[in-house]
Amino acid sequence: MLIPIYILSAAALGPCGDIQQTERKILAGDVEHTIIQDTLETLTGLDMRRVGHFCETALVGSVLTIKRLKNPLDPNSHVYFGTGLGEVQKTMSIFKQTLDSEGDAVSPYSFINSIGSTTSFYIAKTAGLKSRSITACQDELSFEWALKLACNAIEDKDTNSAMAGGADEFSVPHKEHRRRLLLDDEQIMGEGSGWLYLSGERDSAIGEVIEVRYLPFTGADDAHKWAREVSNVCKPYLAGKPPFLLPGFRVNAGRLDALTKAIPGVKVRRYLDYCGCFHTAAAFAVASVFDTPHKSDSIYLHVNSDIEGRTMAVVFKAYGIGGGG
Amino acid sequence: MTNLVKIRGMGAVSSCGIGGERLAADLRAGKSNGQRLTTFPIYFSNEIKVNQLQAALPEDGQGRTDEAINLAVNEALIEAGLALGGEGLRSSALILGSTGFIYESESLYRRQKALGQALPPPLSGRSVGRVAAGIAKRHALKGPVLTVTTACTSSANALLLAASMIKRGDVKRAIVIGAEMLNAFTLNGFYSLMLLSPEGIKPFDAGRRGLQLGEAAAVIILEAADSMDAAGIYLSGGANNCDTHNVISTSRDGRLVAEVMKTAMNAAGVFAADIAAIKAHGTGSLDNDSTEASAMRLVFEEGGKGEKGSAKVPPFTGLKGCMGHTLGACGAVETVAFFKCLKEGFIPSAMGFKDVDPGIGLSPLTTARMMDNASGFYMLNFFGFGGNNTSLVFRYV
Amino acid sequence: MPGSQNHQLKSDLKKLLVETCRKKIPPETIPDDATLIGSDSFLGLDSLDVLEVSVALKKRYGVRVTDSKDALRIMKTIDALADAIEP
Repeated sequence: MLIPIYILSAAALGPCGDIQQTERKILAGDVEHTIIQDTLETLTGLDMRRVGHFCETALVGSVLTIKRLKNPLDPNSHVYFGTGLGEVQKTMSIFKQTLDSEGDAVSPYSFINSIGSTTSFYIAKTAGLKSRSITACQDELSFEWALKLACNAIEDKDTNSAMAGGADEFSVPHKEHRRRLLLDDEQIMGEGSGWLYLSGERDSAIGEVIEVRYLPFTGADDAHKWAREVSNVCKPYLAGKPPFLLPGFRVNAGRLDALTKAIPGVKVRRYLDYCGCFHTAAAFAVASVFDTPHKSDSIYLHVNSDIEGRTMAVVFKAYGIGGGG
Repeated sequence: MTNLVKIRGMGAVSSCGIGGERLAADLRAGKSNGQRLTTFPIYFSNEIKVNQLQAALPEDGQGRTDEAINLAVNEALIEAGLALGGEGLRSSALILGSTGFIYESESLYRRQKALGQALPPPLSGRSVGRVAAGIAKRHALKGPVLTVTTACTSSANALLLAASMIKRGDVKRAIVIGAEMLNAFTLNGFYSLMLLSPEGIKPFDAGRRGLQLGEAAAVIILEAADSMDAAGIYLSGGANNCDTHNVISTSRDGRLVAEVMKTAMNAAGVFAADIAAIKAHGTGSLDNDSTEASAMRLVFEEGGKGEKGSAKVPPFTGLKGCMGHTLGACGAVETVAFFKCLKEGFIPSAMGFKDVDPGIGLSPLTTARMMDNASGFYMLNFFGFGGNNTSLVFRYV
Repeated sequence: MPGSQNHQLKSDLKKLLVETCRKKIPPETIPDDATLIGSDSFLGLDSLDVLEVSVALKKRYGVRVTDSKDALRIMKTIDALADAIEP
């Protein structure tokens, strides 16, 4: 980054409705949907009767992130929201209604929910924001893109602060949705959201975003070459202290092995055990790092690829208790 | 780092045919390309008109989006004098704006149903991001790939983000794509919202009754420029904001829409009096045309006072009467259409408009405005569901 | 008999409105003559709710409303709605 991008607050929602560390659970298999509408209405005090589960998933994280801010929200904050598949359940229901029962009018609520900008509309509305609002949909790299665009905007002085987050939902039957995600049999499917409130101002920061780097690899590229370049993204910031590695769900065993060898002492945090696989699991990963305070400053590296191998690496720091540096 | 971003090449496929010139030709001739939907069945097809692509596209219904984009990319590359596989574009950003790609899923589903085969789960492997990723893969592009989905401002926002990446020095060039194919899903949705006009689109007209949807693919290649001395089209500035008044319409007073226009002018470093003409969003919907007109008044009548003496809304037009509302693609395709016309020395009239709405009190251009010297600043506005508003200011030299 | 005098119909319509718009109130508490649309009204419905109800009305009663202005007019009150269904 050209200037430090501070993280002032964060929140992550997991597939079991978990919003804090004591509620996080290791998933034993694909889970069922958790009803979160009441959680959301309690959090916002607003009537959320028309939004679908996907939108609720995104909102629980965004609303909590703002609630956790120590200082008042900057009314000019931008919103950058990433989602791989967007609203799946309502889209499926309209799709089937449209093609299987010709002649039936589709539900306006469902149609509105299926539109790409609706969730970011509610994110801005619940936050009281009226500034820039962008939704990025780039498969497994959707959250990374939202984060990058947010950091760019702060660096470019387009804004002082921004919400950056990601969310995805699964649909049932599980088998059908697993195929949509192209998951291996042993991979558990999940859903959830994660949000960061970013600022150019350091006051009350809990961490900072150090790098969001795009690496144009393909799946055919050598694992060691890939690992070397990914590790180079975080190496300048380690100062002799090994980082934590958060591997995304498209990082295969060979690449993970190569990467752990390329970063001596790296500690792997298998966050997917808690949230399952979904396109924006990275958002859950990064935000849930801030579930509990850190004893000392810690560097994290999150890495994931899309199915063709394009890779994005996120390096960030969680400050230790008593303020970091 | 640079502050200047220039259009290097443009291409478009639309209901006017293959090529950006076709848009200008039909806009000049006042040819509306609205017709009954024939590509696929919908139960209310005799109640509405649509703008369908005029191009030879795959008949099996697969790869329609890709093929339309290919045609537009090729045209833009020829104009730019660049090759996709060449060094000039290999590390360019590829940024696509669309509401999604459901047409192919629908046609696959229909075909398999007709054959009595086991139904595949719709949407499998067709996430919104797949189209851009596929183009990048086919052409071995090494630059960043991003898809933006903010409803009808999608490709306008793609232009805005591409310009910012170029200005930051992240990339030298960006291929910006807007693509939208008609599909039963979206048509049904708009029909349920009672937003489709039974008699075609009439932007800003007293008798306007709604939208006419269309399909298009358009490509704009942007690049860093050193100065604005050379003839060309420069993206001087732009802005985006989110009006959270109502998810399906903007607030009637037009304040937030006015705000986005002002912010865009600030970003471009120009005053209201500098704007030579406006390409309005002009969907022909009852509420949003009123809002847009109120916003133009706020910016140019109220806000224009005292700056340079001018306090009038500049000449404005709308392009959807010719090519329909192409939703996520309209940012790109209307930018191509507008500047293809300007290059030929005219600003097109707002097709479909006849009578001034007393509630609006403004008239868009009713005949083409011929321009001896078209040099100047132009504002292009785009608004969408979810209160997403985008305004772009270009300089034509 | 005009719909506004058909108590069963009006009771059904109240249920349909509450269910369709996912309002958390007992349907029978809606007065027959209370305004339904607008932030100050009894139900606080907006234009999107009116569209959703229109789809539900077509499914249940076969009433076809294609113009949003007509939809707003017939959904003014429960009485008006009942009269529109059974003139």
